[in-house]
Amino acid sequence: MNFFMPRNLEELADALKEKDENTYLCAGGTDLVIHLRARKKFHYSLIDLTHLEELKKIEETQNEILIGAAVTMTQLEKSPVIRKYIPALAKAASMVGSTQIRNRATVGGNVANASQSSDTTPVLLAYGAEAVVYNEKGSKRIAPVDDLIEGLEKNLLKDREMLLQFVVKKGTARSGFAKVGSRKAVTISKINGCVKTELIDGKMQQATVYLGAVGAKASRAPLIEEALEGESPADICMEKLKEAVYGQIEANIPTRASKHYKKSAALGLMDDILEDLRADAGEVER
Amino acid sequence: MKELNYVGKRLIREDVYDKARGKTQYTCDRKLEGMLYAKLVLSEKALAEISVSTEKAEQVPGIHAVYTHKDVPKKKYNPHNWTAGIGALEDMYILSEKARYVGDHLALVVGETKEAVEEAASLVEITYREEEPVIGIEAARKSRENLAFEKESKCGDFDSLPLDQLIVEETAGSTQAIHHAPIEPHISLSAIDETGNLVIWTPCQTVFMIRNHVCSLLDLPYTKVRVIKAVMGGSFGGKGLTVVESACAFAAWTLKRPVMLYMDRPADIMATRRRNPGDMTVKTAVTKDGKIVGRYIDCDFDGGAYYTNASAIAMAFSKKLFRLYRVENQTVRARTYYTNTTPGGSCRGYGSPQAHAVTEVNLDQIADRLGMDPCQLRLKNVVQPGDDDPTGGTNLGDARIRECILKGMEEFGWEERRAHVREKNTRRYAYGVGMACATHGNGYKGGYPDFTNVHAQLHPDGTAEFRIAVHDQGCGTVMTMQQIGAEALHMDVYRIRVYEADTFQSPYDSAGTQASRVTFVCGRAVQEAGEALLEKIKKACVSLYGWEKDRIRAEDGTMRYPGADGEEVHTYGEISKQYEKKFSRYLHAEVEYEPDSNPGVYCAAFAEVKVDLYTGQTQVLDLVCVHDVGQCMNYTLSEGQVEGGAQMSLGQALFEEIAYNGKGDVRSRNFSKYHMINAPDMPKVRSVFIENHHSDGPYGAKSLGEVVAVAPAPAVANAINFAIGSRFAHYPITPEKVVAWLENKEHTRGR
Repeated sequence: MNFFMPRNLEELADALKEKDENTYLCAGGTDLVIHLRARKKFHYSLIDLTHLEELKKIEETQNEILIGAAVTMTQLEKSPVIRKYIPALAKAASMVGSTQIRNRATVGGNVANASQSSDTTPVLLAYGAEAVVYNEKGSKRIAPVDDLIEGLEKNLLKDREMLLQFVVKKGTARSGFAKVGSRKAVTISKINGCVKTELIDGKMQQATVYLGAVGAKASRAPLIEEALEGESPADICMEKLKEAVYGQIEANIPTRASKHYKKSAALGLMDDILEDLRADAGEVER
Repeated sequence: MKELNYVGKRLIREDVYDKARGKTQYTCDRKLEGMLYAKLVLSEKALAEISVSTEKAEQVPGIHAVYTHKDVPKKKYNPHNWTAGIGALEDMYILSEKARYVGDHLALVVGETKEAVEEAASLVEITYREEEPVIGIEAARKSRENLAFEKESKCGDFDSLPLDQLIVEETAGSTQAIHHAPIEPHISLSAIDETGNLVIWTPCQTVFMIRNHVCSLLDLPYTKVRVIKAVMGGSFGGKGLTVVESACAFAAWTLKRPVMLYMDRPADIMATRRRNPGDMTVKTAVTKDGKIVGRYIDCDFDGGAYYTNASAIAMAFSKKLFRLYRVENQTVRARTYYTNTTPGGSCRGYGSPQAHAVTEVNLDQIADRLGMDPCQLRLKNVVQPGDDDPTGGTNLGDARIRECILKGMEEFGWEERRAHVREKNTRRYAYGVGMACATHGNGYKGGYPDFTNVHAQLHPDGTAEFRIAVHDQGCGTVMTMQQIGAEALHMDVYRIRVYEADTFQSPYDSAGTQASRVTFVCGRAVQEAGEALLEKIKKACVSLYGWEKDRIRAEDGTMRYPGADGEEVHTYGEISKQYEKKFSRYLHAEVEYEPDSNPGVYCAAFAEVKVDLYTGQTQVLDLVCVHDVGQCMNYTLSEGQVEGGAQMSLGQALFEEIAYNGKGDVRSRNFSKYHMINAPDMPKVRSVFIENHHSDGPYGAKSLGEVVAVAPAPAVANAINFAIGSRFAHYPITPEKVVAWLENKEHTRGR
C-alpha cells in the first residue's frame, strides 16, 4: 500500500510509473471512496492529486478557457470566467450533490468516473471540449472529451493516463443546463441536459443539445436540436417541442421501462433549460 | 388554571451546545482499553439454507473471532418482547441458522480494528442453497402458511347495513416500507466491569427490555447485567426493539473483552427493523348529508421474516380507527404475514401512519362525491370530548379534534384557498390544497402494564435529582422532565438533573420510552415525585424553624415565610443540610405511578402543493399542523417535534421507500437511493397548539412525539388529488406515478 503525493508534473509522472491495477487516482474522492467501499477494496495505493497547483486553476487565454482537472464544483460555480463563457457548466456544477460534496468533487473526477448521470459531462460535450491527457512518461496528448468516455462508469483512458486539463474554445454562444432528480437538490440526475446555442435576434441558431442519463453516457439529441433551430426560447411551441423530446427519448432508450417517465421529465427539463436562455435572451434585448 | 413558571417555557436544553459543536460523545466516539470492534455479516439472499466458512476471515491479522450460528446459544427470542411477560412468539437467534431475508444476521466478526473487521467480514464465505422467497404482501397472501397474525375488531354491525340505501365509497391503497433513518446507525458497546458484571451501553429505548433479552439468551441473572442508555443520535422507533445488543453482549461475554458492534447505513436499512408496509381497502357508508354510518377496513401487513411485532402492528393499527370518528358500525380486519424481507418493528406513530393514510383519502373521495367540503364532512363525524372507545378501549378524554379542524381552517385560510388555489395553475404547474386528521394514544394503559417509578432527592448544595428510566431520543425528554420537576419543586430547571435509564441505577419502569407514554406517564410521575418532595421540604421547615406549613411559600429554590420580623427565607440547600444534621434524614421522595387514563391526542394538517405536470414532482408549499396537546412542555421542543414529524410524514407521502426486487434484494441500500425530504424541499411548517390543560398528564399535557408523523402524508395526498383530479392512495406518490397517471388521463381523453 503506497500513498503518492506529487507536487509537480514530474513527480506525477513518477507516481504514474508505479501505478498498478490497485492504484487509484484521488482528487475529491467523492466517488472513489464510495467505490472502494462498495467493491470491498482493503489494500490499495493512492495518488493524491490535490497538491498539484496546475490542476486546480481556471485560466483564460485569448481563444480558450483552460480548466484544471482538479478544479472543484464550487470553483466552477463561482468562477466569473466560467459564468461568462460556459454558463451551463457553472450551473451544472452548482447542482452537483451537496455543498460539502461540491467543495471536494472535481470536474476531472466527474468526467473520468464516467457515470451516465454526470452533470458536467453533457455541458463539456455540448461545448466540444477537449482534454489534455498526461501519462507516466510525462508526455501529453489532446483528445476530445467524447473520445475518453465509454459510459456506465468506464472511461477510455489508458492504465497510466490521467486527465490534466479541459480546453474549451471561447465564443459567443449562450447555454443552459437543467437536471431532474428525485428532489430539488442533493440529488442524482434521472435525466439532465445542456443546450448551447447562439442567440441571434432572440432566436436560437446552431443549437447543440446533449442529454445525460438516457444512455450509457451523455449523448447528442439531434431531434431536439432540430426543433430548437430558429425558435425563440420565450415563445417556442411546446407541443412541437414535446414531439421532438418524446421522439428523442424513445430513440435513446426504446427498451427501458423508465422511458415513459423520462419523456415527460425531459420536457420539463427542456422547459427549465429554455428558462436559462430566456433570461439570456432578455439580457440581449436590454 | 394556575400560572406555570417552568413548564411551557422555551428553555434551552443543556445538551445542545455540545451537540451543535460536535463535541458530544456518541457510542461510536468511545474507546475502552482493550476494546474490539465487531461487525455482523448479513445475508445476501432472501431465503436459503446456508453453510458458512470462516477460515479465510479468521486469518486476517487482528481478528479474534468469527462467530456463526453454531457458536451462539441455541435459544430463541423475540426482540419485540419488552418485558418477560409480553409473550409474542420467539423465533430469532442471535445469529440465524438459515437466511430468511436479505440482511439476516448470519455471522459476527470481532477484531482489533475496524479495518481488520471490515476485511474479514468480506472474506466470510457463505454458500447459499436458495429457495423461492416470499416477497411482498401479494405473494404472501397466496398461502395461509405465511399468516402470522389475524384479528377482527368491531363495533355495531356493518354487515347488516342497508348499503343500497347509502352512499358507499371504496378506496384501495397502501403504505410502503420505511427506514427510520436516524443519523446514528445502530451500535452497542459491551464490557465486563471490575466486579464481573456485563455492562452494555446502547442508544436504546428500553434498557429493561435489553436486559431481559441478554439475560435470557446468555443465561445470566438480571442482577449481573447492567444496561445503560447511551447518548442517542435518533431512533424514531428503529432502536425500540433489540437489534445489535444481543450479539454485542454475547461477544464481550465470550471473549471477556470490551466489544463495540457497529453498523453502517446499508446494514441499518436492510438488517434492523422497518415500518411495516400495509395494503388496505376502506369501504365507508354515509348518508346523503355526510353522516358516516358504517365502515369496513381490511388491511394486510407485511411482517417480514420474523414474528417481532406481527400482532402489535395489527392491533395498534386497528385501535386508532375507532378513536377519530364516530362510526357506529365498523369492522376492521387486520392480518400480518411473514415474508422474506426485513422484520417489522416500532416506527414513530406505530400503526397510525398506515391507519390514516388511506382512510383520510377515502373521506375526501366521499366529500367529493357528496359535493361537500372535506372539513365540513369531518366536522360532522369527529369524536367529541368524553366519548368512549366503542370497542371498550380507554375513554378518549378531552378529545379536541373539532377545535383542531376549526383552528386549522382559520390559520390556513382554508375556504378561500380551497375555492381559489387552482386559479394559480399554469401550463406546467397545478396547485391544490388538502387536509387530513389523525389520532394517537398516550401509553399502554388498556393494553399492557403501564407504570413507572421515580426517586427524587434534594441535595445540600441546593440541586435536585430525579431517577426515572427515561431515554432521551434526541427530542428533549430530559429537558421536559427537568421542567416538570422544576415546576413541582419551584426551583431552577438547570439545578435539576434527570438521570437517564440505567438498570443498576434507575427504578423500574414497565414499558420504556415508547408508545407516546413518556410525557404523559413518566412526566406525571415526575410531577408527583416533585410534589411529594416539596411537601417534605415544607415539613422539614416546620420541624427546623417552627413555621406553620400552610403559610410557607416556595419560590425559586427557597422557602419563604411571613415571620414576625418580616419575611424569613431559607434556600433548599440550607434546609437540606440542616435537616440532615438535626434529624439524621435526607430529603427524598419515591413514587410508583400508574396512570388512570389513556386519552387520544389529535391533529389536523393542512397542505398546499404545487405539482409539476412535466416532471411529476410535488412541492409542498405550505403546511399547517394543529395539535391537541393539552399543554405544551416547551414550545421550542414541541415545534421541533411537529417539524420533524412532518418531515417523516412528507417523506412517506412523496419520497421514501425501502425498495425490493422480486428476489428480495434491497435496491435502496443507501441515501443515494433511499430519498428523504431534505432542507431545500421542506416547507416551513406552521405549528398551532390547542392547549386545554385538561388531562391526567403533567400539568394537563398529552403526547405529541408520534401523532406529529401521521396527518401531513394524507393531507398532501388529498392536496395532490385535488390539484390534478387523481385518486392516489398508494404511497409514496412519486413523480413516476404522477406522470403515469397524467399520461394515462391524456390518452383516455384522446380516445
